[in-house]
Amino acid sequence: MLFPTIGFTVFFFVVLALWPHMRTTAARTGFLAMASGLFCAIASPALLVYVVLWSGLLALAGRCQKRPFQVTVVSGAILQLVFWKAFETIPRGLLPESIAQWAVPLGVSFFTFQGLTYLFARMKGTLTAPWGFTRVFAFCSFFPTIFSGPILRAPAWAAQLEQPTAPLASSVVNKAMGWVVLGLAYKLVLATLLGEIVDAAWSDPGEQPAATLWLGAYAYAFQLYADFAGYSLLAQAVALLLGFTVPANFDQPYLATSVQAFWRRWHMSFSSWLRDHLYIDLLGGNKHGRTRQVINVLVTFFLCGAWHGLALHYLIWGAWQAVAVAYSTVSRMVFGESKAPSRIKLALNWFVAFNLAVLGWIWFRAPSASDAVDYFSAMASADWYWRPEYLSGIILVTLALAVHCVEKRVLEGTTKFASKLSTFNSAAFWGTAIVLVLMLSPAGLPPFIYFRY
Amino acid sequence: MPKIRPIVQLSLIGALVAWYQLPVMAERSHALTLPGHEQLADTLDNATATVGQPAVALRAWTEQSKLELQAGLLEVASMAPPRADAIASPIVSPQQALGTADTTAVRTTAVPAAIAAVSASAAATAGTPTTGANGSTGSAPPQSPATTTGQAPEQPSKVAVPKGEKGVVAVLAGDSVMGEIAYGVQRWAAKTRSWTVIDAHKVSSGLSNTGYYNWPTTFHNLLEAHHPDVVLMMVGANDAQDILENKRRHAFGTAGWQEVYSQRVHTILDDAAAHCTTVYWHLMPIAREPGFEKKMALVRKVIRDAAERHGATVRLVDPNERFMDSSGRYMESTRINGKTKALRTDDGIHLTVAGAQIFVDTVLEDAEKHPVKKASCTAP
Repeated sequence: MLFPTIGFTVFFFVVLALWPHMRTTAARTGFLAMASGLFCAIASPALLVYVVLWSGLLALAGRCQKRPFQVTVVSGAILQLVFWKAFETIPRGLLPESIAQWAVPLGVSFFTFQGLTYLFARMKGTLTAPWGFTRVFAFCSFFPTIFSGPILRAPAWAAQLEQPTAPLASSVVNKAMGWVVLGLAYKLVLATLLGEIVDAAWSDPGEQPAATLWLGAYAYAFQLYADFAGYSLLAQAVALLLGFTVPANFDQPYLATSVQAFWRRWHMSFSSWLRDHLYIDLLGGNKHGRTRQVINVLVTFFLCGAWHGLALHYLIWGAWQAVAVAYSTVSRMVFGESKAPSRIKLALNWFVAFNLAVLGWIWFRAPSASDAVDYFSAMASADWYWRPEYLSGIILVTLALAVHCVEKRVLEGTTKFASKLSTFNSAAFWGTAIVLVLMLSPAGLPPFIYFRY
Repeated sequence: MPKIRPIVQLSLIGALVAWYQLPVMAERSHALTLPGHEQLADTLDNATATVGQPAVALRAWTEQSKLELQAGLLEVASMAPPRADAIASPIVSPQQALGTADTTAVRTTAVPAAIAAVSASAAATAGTPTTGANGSTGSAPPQSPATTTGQAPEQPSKVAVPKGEKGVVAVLAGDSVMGEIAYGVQRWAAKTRSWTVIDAHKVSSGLSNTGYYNWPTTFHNLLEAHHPDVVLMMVGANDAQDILENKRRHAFGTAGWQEVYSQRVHTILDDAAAHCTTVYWHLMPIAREPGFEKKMALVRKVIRDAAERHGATVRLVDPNERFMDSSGRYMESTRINGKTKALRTDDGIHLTVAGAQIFVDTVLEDAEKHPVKKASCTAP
């Protein structure tokens, strides 16, 4: 049940209608657990069983407070992720038939990481009281975020659950509708149209002229952003209408002027999870000297690459980011950081950071490392000539960059504008905006790219 | 108690979106298997037929506008000043192709008079030759085309007109699938600096809907503007629709439809023969969806029959066997140079670069085997 579908809309309106009647924390917890359980079961009954088992284990580990058991649960959770990542990589023909038919649980890494924040909070003492099974399950399976995040933190989520249900306010509806319109426009229009350029470029990279591949690389950078940011905005909107503020996943990442800044703005709920729990808690962050800090950065990004898949091209993509961040870290250590860099320097930094991200995504998008090498080779070839189709592609990529630059201001502006309108006019405004997006979108709903991770 | 304003607000937004989605919901409700789904489907059908009509019209208008915008963008692109590398390559834009640019200059610079052409050679061949492929299977390498000899090359630059031998003016006409083939031909021509390629394909076009794009007229204009030696033609993917002619509607597949469609094919081929131009008419490769493939099979049959009755200046290109497995079923990919290459795009209709290359190879091989000077044409 994907967000921009009729089925989900019906499901959500029923949940939204019943939600204000859940007056106590226990009622809200139980109701959320039921709604999310139904949401999982519709996606796949096996998924529901999987999340129930994972929640049961977490509830047990959160309650017993024995460090070896908790460490075993954390290790087991990571191992099961490694298993699923390996399962995706191994050709099905090499597996026994009964195993080859298994399907990777949808959103497995998202609900695993999300669930682990509860256990980490219990281990650190941030959460003093253990949760019952129902609350752990409601948290792990929280339907707005289960499939692709944003990854929630247990203490922040629980604090919102314990707040009395506030009546739905017009300001909330306007804010959520702004996210819905932008999210749908990103996912249904921009990501789908850019996807056509990307698919054409990747249909046979070795045989394509260089211009097609360069255009395809820039188009993919924005397709991935539009796809994932679009989904995240929809998730934020759905959660907000229920009274939950979930963390934003993106903050105009392609405007970053360094690779580090890019990672502070890209998939923020995941990068901050890695920073807090892997880089700082497990590896020690920058507490053990500069050499160790650089090694920690390398390890963190390498594992970030591995999380996307255990295939070589993902590992190279992780290493690509690791080297770029490590280089940036070392140069800052050696040369210091300019407090007021000139505009030219900022522009140059932006250009380098943006293009490092764009070229890095080639490893990410490639079906295999050898395909990525073919793609890079063909990009570097002298096979250039103009095709009329490039114009629409260039316009689309430029438009995507322009929208990226102004998205925050546009969101704020439209929300402010709608809040000044009457009830009827603001409803007409948002309704027309959604219909316009639907009119512009090509037929069908392509799968969300990040569902596979 | 919940406030009333946001509830009214959300309900109105929901109602507006639901109204626009009515036709989709009505269509999908027929596929439901829930209890009472038939009543639901009937209700939604009725709602669509009454309050949903403007939404249906709005959707149709949007789709048409998107097509026109897409075509407009391509035309704008073709008017852009050529890049330095594009000037060096013998590719002509669609704008020039339609005669609105200085086409004379293109001909005089790119077509030395006495250089061999592929064109009217076919006139000397009895009947309508079919340029096709023999049965290759899933993982087997492509085999030679039926009416040509020699190996099916994987690098088109190794066949056909040798590097530097310019002179053949080729017009590429048809729909978006032709656009994919055009790309392969352009690539080859740019590499070998040989043919002057005029890409005149038009997305979403065909022979059924001449109101959208009139190929017989456009084809004539192209012949008059460029006097091409060869035209590569492919239509069909957009032709599974009714034909409206002289205020009379011919439902797709009926005898009347077949007659009108066949007549349009004849008009094009007669025109080509009158201009001593050989037409390589590409038949649509097998489509993935069985229902759509059934329609395409009919389109192929009508084109084939018309071409066979027509005569010698048309050469049918039917490499369908390379797009089917050993059981004659749709084939997604094949092995080329030891690598698995997808032949078709996700929609099961369009061609990937590798898929289009099969058509390109077939034509270029055939063109190499039958090169005759245009002067041998005896047409008036």
